[in-house]
Amino acid sequence: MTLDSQLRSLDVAEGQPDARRRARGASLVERIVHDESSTTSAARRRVVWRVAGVAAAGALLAAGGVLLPSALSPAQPAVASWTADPSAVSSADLQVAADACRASASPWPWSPAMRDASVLLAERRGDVVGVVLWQAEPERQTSCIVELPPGSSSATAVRSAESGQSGPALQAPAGAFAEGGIAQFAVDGGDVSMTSGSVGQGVVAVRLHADGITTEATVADGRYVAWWPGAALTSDDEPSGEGGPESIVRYDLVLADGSVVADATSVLPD
Amino acid sequence: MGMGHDATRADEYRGLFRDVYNDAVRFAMRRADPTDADEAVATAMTIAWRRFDRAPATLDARRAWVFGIVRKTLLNERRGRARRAALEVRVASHAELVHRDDHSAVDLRADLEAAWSTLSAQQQEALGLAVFEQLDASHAAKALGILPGTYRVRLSRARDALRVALDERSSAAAHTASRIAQEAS
Repeated sequence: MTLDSQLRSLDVAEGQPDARRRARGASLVERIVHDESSTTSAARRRVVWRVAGVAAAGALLAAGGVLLPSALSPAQPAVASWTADPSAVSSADLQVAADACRASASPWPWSPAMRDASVLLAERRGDVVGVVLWQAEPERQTSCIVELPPGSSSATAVRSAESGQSGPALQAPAGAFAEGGIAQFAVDGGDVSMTSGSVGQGVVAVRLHADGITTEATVADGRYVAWWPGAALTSDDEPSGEGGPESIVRYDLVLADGSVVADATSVLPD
Repeated sequence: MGMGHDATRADEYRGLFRDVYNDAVRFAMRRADPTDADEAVATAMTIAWRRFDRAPATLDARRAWVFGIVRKTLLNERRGRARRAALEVRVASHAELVHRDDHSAVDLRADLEAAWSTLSAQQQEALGLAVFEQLDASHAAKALGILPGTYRVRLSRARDALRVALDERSSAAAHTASRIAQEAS
């Protein structure tokens, strides 16, 4: 008996996964290909850690790490309608977008439904609405980009990403901001990113820079949100074993007195 | 946005999933408790879907690719000191094995288990990929994100360290047996 075969006799995972795991696998693959959701548990945990004040240097909510040219291709007509300045979402459109987001965020085998989630913030850029939902119990935030031309009665495509605590509980001090979740979606060979977080009193605008794109975030009720056609995270296509994708997003804050805090640093909430 | 369902891509992904899922579960279970293992595999398979356009073609390369994503997921979810635990490869304990086999074999494996526990996490990982995942050096290196030559060095050192640890246990056991024999005589 060779040393290797002796070692194999110590394998804690010998044999096939049990029936429960096989069933979970069958369910998982269909959820992945049908829902095209970008949720990652890693992302959820990172948010929790950040809120808890134990964030590792540079660790951010990261729902993936594909870095591709951000140029819009003809295959992305809705994304191509993106505008650097956001516009408001009509109440009728918001209802459609939120419903689509709730449906898209339907549970993983281990996660609860988002049926009671309320809208935290939303914005429209061209034919795509970005919406952030938040549910108090269990505490969970879902960010969605929803293809929804103005006045449409139904969404034609949705991407969603879940995270743990970064809802209303996450507050930034005056004149500062707290970076919340960052989701990056792969859409037809390109990236679409979305982020939201909180701003403290006196912050009237947030300008984001990432992947060669500069955009004004939507700011309301102490929170900001923005989506853009491009990457938000460092490339992560080759497993290196060291760390995960890091944010490439930079932030400028505009304060009520008109001054600008360039390249602002996120603060951790109390 | 063109996010409509791509049936061909989905079918091809299902093929990859079918090929690697069980192995990915086992890979994770060797390195994490069952709950964390399940979550890490689910996360990794979702990442694999998003990156499916760049999935390698052959089975072993795909296994290595997915193992690498699972490994990184486990690492990302464990920070600081806990990260070391994400690299460690668990082996069955002496007690777990008693029901499996006869007792003389269990003694041998208890030595092996003890020797295994003396290896560094990096050594366990290098050896584990060869022994349990049965990847060749180039694929194991890919899973770890290192060069094949670096992997071969790690693997060789891991094997040496395991042999040394086993020999030390054997010598100690022989010494103990000799002492017991002397005391009995």
